[in-house]
Amino acid sequence: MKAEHRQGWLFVAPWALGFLLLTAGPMLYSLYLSGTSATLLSPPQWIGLENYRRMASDPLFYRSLGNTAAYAAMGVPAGLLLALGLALLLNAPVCGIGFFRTLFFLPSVTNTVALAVLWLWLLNPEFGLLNAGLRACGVEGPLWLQSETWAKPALVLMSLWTAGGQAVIFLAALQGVPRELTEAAAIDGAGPVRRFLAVTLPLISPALLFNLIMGLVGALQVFTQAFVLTGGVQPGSEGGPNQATLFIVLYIYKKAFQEFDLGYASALAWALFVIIVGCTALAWRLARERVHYEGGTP
Amino acid sequence: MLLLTGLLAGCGRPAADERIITYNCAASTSDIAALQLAAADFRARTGIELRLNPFSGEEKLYAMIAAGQAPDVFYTNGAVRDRLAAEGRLLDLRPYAEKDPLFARLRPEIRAAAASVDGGIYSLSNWTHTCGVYYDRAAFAAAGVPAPTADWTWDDFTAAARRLTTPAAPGARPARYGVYIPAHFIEALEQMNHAPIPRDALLLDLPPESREVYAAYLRLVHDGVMPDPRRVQAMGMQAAQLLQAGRVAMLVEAVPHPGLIETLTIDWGVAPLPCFGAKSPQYFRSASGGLSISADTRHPADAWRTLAWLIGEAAPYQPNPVLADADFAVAWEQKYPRLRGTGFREVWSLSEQHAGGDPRYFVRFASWSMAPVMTRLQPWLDRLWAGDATLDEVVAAVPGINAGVRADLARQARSTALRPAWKAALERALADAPH
Repeated sequence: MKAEHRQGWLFVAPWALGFLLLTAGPMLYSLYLSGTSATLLSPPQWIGLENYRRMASDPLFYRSLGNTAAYAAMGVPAGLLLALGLALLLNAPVCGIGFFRTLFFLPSVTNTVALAVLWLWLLNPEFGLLNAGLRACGVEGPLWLQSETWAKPALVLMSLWTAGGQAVIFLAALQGVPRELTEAAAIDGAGPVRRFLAVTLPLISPALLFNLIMGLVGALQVFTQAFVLTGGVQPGSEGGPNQATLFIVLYIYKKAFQEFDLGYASALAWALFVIIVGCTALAWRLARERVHYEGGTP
Repeated sequence: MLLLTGLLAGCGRPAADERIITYNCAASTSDIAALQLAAADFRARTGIELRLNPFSGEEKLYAMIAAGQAPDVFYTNGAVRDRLAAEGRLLDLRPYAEKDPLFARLRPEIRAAAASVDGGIYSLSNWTHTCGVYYDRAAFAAAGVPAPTADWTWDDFTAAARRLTTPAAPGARPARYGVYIPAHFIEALEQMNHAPIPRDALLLDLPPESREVYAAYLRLVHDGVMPDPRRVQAMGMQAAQLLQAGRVAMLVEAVPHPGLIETLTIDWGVAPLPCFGAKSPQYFRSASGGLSISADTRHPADAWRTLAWLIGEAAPYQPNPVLADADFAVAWEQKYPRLRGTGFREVWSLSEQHAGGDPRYFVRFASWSMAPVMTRLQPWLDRLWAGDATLDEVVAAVPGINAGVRADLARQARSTALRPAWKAALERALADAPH
């Protein structure tokens, strides 16, 4: 091996070791556990595909998958639209734009638990800001987190608070759009909307695809806010009213750490992994031909 | 790296001859300070050093137990104790309890609740309570409602609640509701209505007496004299704050309840639960959960000594209602003089005279099946509170709920991790459970 290669391996060794020991190792071990009847307290006993068969007839698995899909279907497009809108605003050449960029980015680096507690108050049906605003307009606000209908939209609303992270990526992409192209389109008579749809959007489509995939992966793994806001204390109360916010990761957590059913929880985690990989591949495949890369498709 | 791992693993682990016992205490600053003070005296008398390990979540405790690094003494709730014991994670306290005077000092129902299906003792309750109706005396006086008496009935109770509810403007909620009963106290009302709740039941049962109570509870909400339990939960207020803030005039809560005593600054009294018609009272007495010792402890005798001290002697936890050798009501009133004249002593005394039976919390759902039952029942209750399901629909759902519970329990019974006595007990109970 060349000295150059050795040095290269040496530099990546900390990451590679960390990945092998802390990510790949536990992942493989969980794959093994998914074929066992392991509880948190006892050694694993091999049972083959029994956990996967059990999953197929588990109504809560489907319920949690449905909840997660509904959350992703609402949250991902809404998040993308809001982030893109914010990025367009933050791209405007106005005085103090740096301050606004910082302001919008701040929530995305705030601890999720702290955000969840903040939203617990905002969504409080009696004293919360949201319902106070609705009351001022003569509308009686819902129970939000205690309403089967509104619990998921409430969590989606909360997720939009952190759209600043995606907005920064859009902003970077917007700043990479060559000015001469938009100017040329303007000279040809294209209005602002036409310029955005025909010039800007195709040029920022790689950022759009990136944000779409990351948003999708994040939405399919939603956990912290559901755990903090609707985690419940008594058995059965996890996942909010009528299990409206029992997302798949919350269900995995409940099975592993509250019911000690580690083997089944591992099988659920692998099912989620396959779903995420499948969704990502599908999004990639569908979007590939619509995404414009300078210098061709990667 | 292996060397470093070894060194780190060894860090903080006391030598075998050191008499150090770790206790997973409540993560309350005042509790910790009081316990530290008492622990110094305990060490001077026994030579045992008590190290406090404030509780930071059940999941962390379970992970510590799974890793063989559990604190020596920790609290286990009723739903988890049997599961941990069945997989050999808890020390059987019988050999120590039988020789220690503490066990004889415990109230008979506390001793009975400690026994497990294999005859072992895996935890001892460190607290017990009944429940009663706390009421705002000023609100009663202003509404001209006579103060509740020990023999009041459910009809008297609901009539008082109606009169105490501040009439609401059309389309608005009342400024003050007559009463609030947290949903987890429905079982206390079921006991008052003589609902048969068999000990160690595995499957869900909603006998007619229970249905009557659920119907009465729902009527309170529908008639607008009790706030919707979902709204109270969404408000994030402690039940005691509702009474303190004047949002309700009566509140069903635990007696004694140190937090409530410290919260309330209004003029309040407490009355026993109302009887249902002419039925004799059967007051709720809870002794759920308790202190356990890890099976991995290196000093079982010292751990037991510590557990016995925590229940029977440690100043922060005295007077302790689980002990039969002292007049708890008198001692508690000495600790909290504010209780005098509130009716506390009468409520406590009546609950001793007319105890409702099995003192374990959620007795209908035995440890083995509490999670499988509640996972399936709670969504129905949520729908019931929301008005999206009727009581009849909940009752009709019971066989389906039980079929799922039975499947879960049968799977647990197949686990090779269960100790034989527990496995046999679970299989026997499943075979005996009605189909």
